[in-house]
Amino acid sequence: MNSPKNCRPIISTIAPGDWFGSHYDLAIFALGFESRATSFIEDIACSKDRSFAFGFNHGHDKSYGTNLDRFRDAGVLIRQSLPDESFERELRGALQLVSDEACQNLFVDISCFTRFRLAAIVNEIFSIAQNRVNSLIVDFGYALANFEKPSTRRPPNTTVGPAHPAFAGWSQGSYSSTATVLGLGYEQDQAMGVVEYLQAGEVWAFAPNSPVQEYKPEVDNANALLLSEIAPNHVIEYNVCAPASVIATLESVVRGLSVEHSVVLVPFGPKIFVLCTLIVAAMRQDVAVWRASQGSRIEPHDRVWSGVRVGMRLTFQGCQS
Amino acid sequence: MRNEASISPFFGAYNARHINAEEVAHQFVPSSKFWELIALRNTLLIGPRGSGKTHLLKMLQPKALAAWKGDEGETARSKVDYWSVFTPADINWKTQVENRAQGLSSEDQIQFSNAVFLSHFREAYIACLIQLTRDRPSVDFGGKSTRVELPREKEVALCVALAETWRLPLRVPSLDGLKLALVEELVRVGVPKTLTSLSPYMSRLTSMTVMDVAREVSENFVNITGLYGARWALCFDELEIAPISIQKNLFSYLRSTDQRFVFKLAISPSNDASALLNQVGNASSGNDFDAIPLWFVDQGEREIFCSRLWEKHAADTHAATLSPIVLLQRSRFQFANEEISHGRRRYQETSPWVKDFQYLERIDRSFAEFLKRRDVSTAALSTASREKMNAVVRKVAPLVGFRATYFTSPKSSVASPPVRRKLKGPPPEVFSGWDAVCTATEGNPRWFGGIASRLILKWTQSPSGRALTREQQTHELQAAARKFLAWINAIPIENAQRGTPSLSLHDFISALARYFEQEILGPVFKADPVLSFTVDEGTPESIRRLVITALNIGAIVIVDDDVVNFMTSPVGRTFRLVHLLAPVFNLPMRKGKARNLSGILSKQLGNLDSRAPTSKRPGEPVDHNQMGLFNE
Repeated sequence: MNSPKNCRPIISTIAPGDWFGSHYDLAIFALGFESRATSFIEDIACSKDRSFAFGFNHGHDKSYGTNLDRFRDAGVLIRQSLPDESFERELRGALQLVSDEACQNLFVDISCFTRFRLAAIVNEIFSIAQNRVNSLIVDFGYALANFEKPSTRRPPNTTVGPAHPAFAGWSQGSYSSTATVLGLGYEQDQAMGVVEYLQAGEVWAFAPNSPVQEYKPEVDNANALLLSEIAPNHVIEYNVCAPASVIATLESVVRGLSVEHSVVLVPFGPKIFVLCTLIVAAMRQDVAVWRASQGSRIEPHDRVWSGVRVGMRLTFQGCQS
Repeated sequence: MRNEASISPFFGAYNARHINAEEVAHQFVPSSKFWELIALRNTLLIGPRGSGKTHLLKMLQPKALAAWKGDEGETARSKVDYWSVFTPADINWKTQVENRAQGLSSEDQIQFSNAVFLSHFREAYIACLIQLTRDRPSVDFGGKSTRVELPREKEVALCVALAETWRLPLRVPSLDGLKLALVEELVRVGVPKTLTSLSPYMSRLTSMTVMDVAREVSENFVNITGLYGARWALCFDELEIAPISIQKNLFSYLRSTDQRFVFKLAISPSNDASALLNQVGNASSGNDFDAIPLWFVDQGEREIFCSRLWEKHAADTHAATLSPIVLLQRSRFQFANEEISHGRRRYQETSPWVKDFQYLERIDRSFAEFLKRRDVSTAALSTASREKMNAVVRKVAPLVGFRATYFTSPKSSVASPPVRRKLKGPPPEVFSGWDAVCTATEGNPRWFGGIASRLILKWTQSPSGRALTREQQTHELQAAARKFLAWINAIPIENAQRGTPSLSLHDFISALARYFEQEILGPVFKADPVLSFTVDEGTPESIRRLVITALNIGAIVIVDDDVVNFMTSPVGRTFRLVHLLAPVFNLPMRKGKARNLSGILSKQLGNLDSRAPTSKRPGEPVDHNQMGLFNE
């Protein structure tokens, strides 16, 4: 990650009133197959021709068609069927529209972006922010999905590694053993598999507390073996609806671990936690964020919005001023 | 200082990569492999993850040797005639370097990775000098063999000379200051813009080799200290993680005639490096280097090693004075064998073996027919002829016990096959006892340490102080198997062509396991079940690569008698699943007969043509001698 440490945003959790009342200079959405992809579309006021929906080159079923229509109806510019490499180029092009003549407001709906694309977004935003004179305000929105039983048939991983090359980390002190900070999800024993893969010397886990109550027992169950072996004080419960607080806790844990370890964050679970790990890594220069991905082999299934939305605001004060 | 709360979970808690030299010595249990390793010869340590490669190499460090208490430590110090430089590696570090280099041209990527690795090696070399001079264990048993007196002015002179040679800015002229400067140089490399304009320090390293770096340090050290006889063992861990140019370097050095250096390289059983080593003109095993495979072929040796590991883990607990057999009991089948150790009386009327035979005969018609064909009466096992006892009864007894545990009588008629019991988990009668723990862990120190420490902890927390129940032991073995499977499941598959069905390592292992399970627990009793596989020419290339991966991570074990060395191709070699997985797949912990892999997978997965062209039809089973349930 190449963002200097002094380019550090002010981070706050925001409520629906904050994005209802804002006018954005740029808005970014994911055009995916989940119906929650459009759960923010009607609430975001954005300058003309400054809203973009970035599509994927796979998974054009489930709610994809409906989402496409809704984005079109809302006047959102569509970038369809993008492979990941093209996504980065298109994203950069869209972000170039953000001028540095005045404070600018951005909105990003993270609900349906993959970990790779989220990482690319955070990387680009921090890169822009560090070269700005004027402030930049970025609001991230996340629509929690209704609970669904996790699939018992899990395709094999195609990637286990950094979420994006910019998030590979870099050891700061000599050769040091790896410490892993996990975000727990409900995929059976997957977090434990990555711990073993990394041969981590120290393990911490963040367990989500969601307003959608059904997740918790599933997460506990899927990680029972892992949780039985981590010291209880290494397991931290976090509130999915309080991302700013999650970042503060994450940073504190990472700061402590990085004295002796090369730290790898592995965020399973809700996308809002993925975003938190990326922001922590972007504010430092040494921490990696890894993903375990099944790529396009993953079976598409619709994730319906639960009615709960979470927001987080990053305010960059103008790093070049 | 480590404490219970800071110990990582799973097998990581017993991973030597996470502990310092002094702690390495405290936890060390030498096997015969260590005594082979310390010879003043080039050595390749070959073994899957967890087999103890890192621990063995780290034990050669001056500080670890100096901290090693007791007669064995004394012996080792008297025999080790060199100072060891331990250079670690890990997958996270490799990933960092690769990603950092991603924006460079392919030529620059190679040079960059090379330079980073060599800087890393330099740092390891300086760490070795610090151990020899300043960084000593709290209780120092080391003599001249692990210590060098280096007056401060000589230390300063050495550091200044090295920093000048390396073009490295040095703020504090001491070994610690030199190490810090090396760290700072690598931290600077982490800033992307520095990649296009490398520092003089890094630029110089891009065209150097491991030997160049080693000679620079060694010669400067000798110039300052006057220790002209100094010899060094350059130890590289997880060599497969190092850049390929470095691997080539190191393999070529195995034929080196520079008397100042020997090389100790740790590597997994098969990978791209294997091909490098096997190229004509390269070094050969036995002549230029000793190859030390880190798995146990001899069951007795494995059990002795496990006993010593147990003692180490039980030390300083209430279990210290008790043998593992007191805590865990014997494994059920082993116990039956030892209750009456000689002659036919082992199969007397009241023995558990006879009960198993009679029970299975009653519920399993195929077994009853098997006995009938061989003219064996379960009512008179103890009076069977010696020939029949050896050829039939003893041979099948463990299988009979295993099958009897899993089956109950058919509900309809006796002519129907027996019915699988509805078990909540692996049967404790099979997967418990000292012998089962030794066998399941294969003498792999990391697995054994992980399981033994949990068992000892459970026992010490038990108020009764009695032996652990079989259920408790089985639970731990099952948990260990699940952890291992979770890791297997995390390993990414190779990119298959679009539309080509890709097989994950987990799918591959599961397919094999299901086949073997049917052999032992299928509707028909088999006296000689297939529990191993031979990789044949009909095995598609993609699956051969899975075999290699499975071997490198320790999910399968070589069971043929060929010379163990680097393996460039698995074709013709015979393997079995690692016994650690036996509880989750309902398999007996034994080798069994082998069958060609393509035949097994065709049956389990259908036509293999879609995965790669097959050149030959699946062959026939390969015969192997049958042995006891926990025997190899």
